[in-house]
Amino acid sequence: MELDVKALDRFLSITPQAKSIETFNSREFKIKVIDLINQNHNQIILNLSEVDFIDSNGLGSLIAILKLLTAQQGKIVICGAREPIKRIFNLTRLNQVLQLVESEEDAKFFLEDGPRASSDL
Amino acid sequence: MKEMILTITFKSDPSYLPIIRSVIRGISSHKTSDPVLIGDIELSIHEALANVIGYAYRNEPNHRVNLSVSWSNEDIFFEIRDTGQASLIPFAPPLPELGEIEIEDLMECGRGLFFIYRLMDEISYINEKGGNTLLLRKHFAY
Repeated sequence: MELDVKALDRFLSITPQAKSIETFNSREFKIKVIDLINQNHNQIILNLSEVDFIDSNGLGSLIAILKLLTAQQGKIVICGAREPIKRIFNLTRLNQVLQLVESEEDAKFFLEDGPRASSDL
Repeated sequence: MKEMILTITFKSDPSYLPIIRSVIRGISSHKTSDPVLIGDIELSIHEALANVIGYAYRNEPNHRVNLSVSWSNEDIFFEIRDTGQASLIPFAPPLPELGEIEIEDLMECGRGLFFIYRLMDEISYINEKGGNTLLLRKHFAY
């Protein structure tokens, strides 16, 4: 899986170039993101605008990344998620632990200043 | 009256699941235009098939998975057959209350069965000597 990676100020924006994060590619996704985190990046914006499907293994990868960042006092914010992805986060209640915002700008704001309100999505 | 639509047999390779999902999406969209309902069907059947590949076949890619789809006026039915070992399907894990646990305690697996139980209207599972059959029903005429 290709990742589009760019620095946004002191944050790292990661955009998976894939339609899905699922059983057959979620391990590769997790390894690549963890490699980036281990290169001293612990403020991550994960842009899911290209992704239209996530399965339980994809969610497991996101949880592994969240746990690693939390252990390193880092943060991750998800932006650009489409409605089916938001529904999966809501169903599993992972929206309680993974912050979802609309845009990269909103994500930068969150990482700089914390949540502006509980109404993010 | 239940009408058989199609039967697909495919290799137990998870990289084929996107193809199967597109078939499920196409069939479901014949019966409903609700994108949430179509997405729910797609996700739960995907998880059931991924469960077959991961658990019944232990991620060995050269086995056969059989998916049959039929429908009636108000329901769509899926039958998934494999010849692997017993599945985890009968054991639906409760979803943890996130408010009560720390991030470090979050489970990285187990949500596939949750999706199947949460999104399907009826689930039955038969483990016989020759393998497993999972029957799923989703009501779409609300």
